[in-house]
Amino acid sequence: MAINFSAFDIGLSALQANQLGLNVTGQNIANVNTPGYAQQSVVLSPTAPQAVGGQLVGGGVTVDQVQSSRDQFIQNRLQTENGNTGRLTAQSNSLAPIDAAFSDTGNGISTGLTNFFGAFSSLQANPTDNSLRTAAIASGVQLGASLSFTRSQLTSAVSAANQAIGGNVQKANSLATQIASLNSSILQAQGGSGNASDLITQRDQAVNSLTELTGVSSTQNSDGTISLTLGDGSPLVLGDKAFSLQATPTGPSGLYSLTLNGKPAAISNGEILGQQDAIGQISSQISQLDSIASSLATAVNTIHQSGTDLNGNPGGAFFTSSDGNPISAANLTVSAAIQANPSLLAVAAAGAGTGDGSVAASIANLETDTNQTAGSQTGSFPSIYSSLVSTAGSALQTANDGLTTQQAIMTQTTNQAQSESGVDLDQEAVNMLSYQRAYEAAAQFITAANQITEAVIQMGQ
Amino acid sequence: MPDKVIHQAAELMRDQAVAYQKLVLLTEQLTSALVCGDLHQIESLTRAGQSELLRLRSRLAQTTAILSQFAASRQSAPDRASISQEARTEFESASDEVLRQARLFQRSRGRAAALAMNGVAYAGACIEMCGVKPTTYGAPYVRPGGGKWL
Repeated sequence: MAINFSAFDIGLSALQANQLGLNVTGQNIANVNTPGYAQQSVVLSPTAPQAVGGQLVGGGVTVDQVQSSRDQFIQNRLQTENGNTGRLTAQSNSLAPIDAAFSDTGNGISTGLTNFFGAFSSLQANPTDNSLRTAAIASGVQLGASLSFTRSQLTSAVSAANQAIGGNVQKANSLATQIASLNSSILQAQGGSGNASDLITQRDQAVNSLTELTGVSSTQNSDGTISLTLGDGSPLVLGDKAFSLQATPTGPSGLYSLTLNGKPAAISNGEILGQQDAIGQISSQISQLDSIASSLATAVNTIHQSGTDLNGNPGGAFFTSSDGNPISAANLTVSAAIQANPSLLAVAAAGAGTGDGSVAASIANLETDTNQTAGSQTGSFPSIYSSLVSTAGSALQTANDGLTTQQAIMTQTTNQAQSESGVDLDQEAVNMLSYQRAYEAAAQFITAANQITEAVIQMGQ
Repeated sequence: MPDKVIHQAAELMRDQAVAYQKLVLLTEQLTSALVCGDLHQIESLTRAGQSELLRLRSRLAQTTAILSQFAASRQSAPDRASISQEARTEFESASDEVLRQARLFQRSRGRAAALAMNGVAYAGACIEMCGVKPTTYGAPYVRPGGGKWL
């Protein structure tokens, strides 16, 4: 009888399969705490039998593939929720500074308005009192400083969000390049006999991060690669090619304008959109604050210019711009001439004599005059400002509430994905115990059968 | 009388040969199940093999007992009654068949044994990696009502 080597081949293939199985189990256990890791398993199948001595003999075992437990539907949902979480987190973080900017802790705008109108109300009763004149001027200066301080805080928040956008665009481009490279590696691994599961896990993690930044949509291609597109369908990653987002500073404030392949980038979700939304909201608040400053200056100046000062001369502009630009919250201040000479404060009506305080009374009455207009708002100046603060607070509260809800959704989705594809150490252990017990029992049976057979053969000899 | 005993032993040996044929088939199927790691199939075949083994062992004991009795009676009997040619041929044919089937079984069990031992070593290594202490496990038994092993 010829020597039959098929038993050696079978043993070798079984050993190789078991070695790979051991590696995969080790990989599963090592990655039990790795976010986004999908449990892997070895898919084995018997090799085709070969004819040996007229009989078909099995050729051992081959490894078909190393399979990851992934549910594409849950993965897609996870990516969408990642985008929502990124957007709401960025929005909440970027809007957080407005809470401090509008907080009225003694030197705020609300207090400034009350003090300003109160100072003119006091001056109305005693218009020639130099100390009251000085106090009224000082309250105007203080109000201008409060407006300017609040505006600078809002501008800083815009600037910080804008810088974050710049940083996020760089991260997004780096991730897009990484995903394109992984696409290429996965294609190669799947074409050969390599294990693409780890590469797919890495790519999933990169896609999750990119979705969190930009809210891209992913599409699985038939060759195992994925394509990523922005909200308008523009590709960010196509197979092994990545396209770069460009962030170009525009306008005097240097806000970034984002483009992809020369066209405006349609960011539909993610941190970048959250930061863009926050910039839009804060910019609107700055604009409203500027309108309040401008309208207040116009109203006060109109009244002030209708009166006469202590010298009997017509009043000039009470509020002016400190930098020569049109009056806004950034540059509102009291005229330098009036600050230097309080007697130039025009509190008396024209021709009424220096003892008259009716102009001061008119300025003081602006506090309750509900016919004033600032931007699209109508009402008294304190009420218009309150409305602005209320709107800003509401925007922040909405962002925070949305984030809290989104975090709960994200936790639920992550748990769902984890239960679908995560590594369960208990299950791994139970599987191994069952495996060992079955093989042990089979080995015992075969050994016992062999012992009896040896006895039978010895009896026959 | 000696022919009757020899007939009995030959009968048992023929049954034994059939049992070995069954064992060869079982072992071939077990090899396939071990290769695929099909735990339910492994368990089922192992249990079937153990049952067959029990009967095999029992018949072996019976055969040994009959042949011992025969040897003892032959020694004590003064006439030493001769065995008929027919009985002798039947016995030799049955014993040859048992030996042939036993050797066939030995050949087929080699692959199954290697796979099973590999599997035990593999599972042991995995269990250590899982942090589960290796202990002694009994033969696999299906839970009442079926289902996975626990």
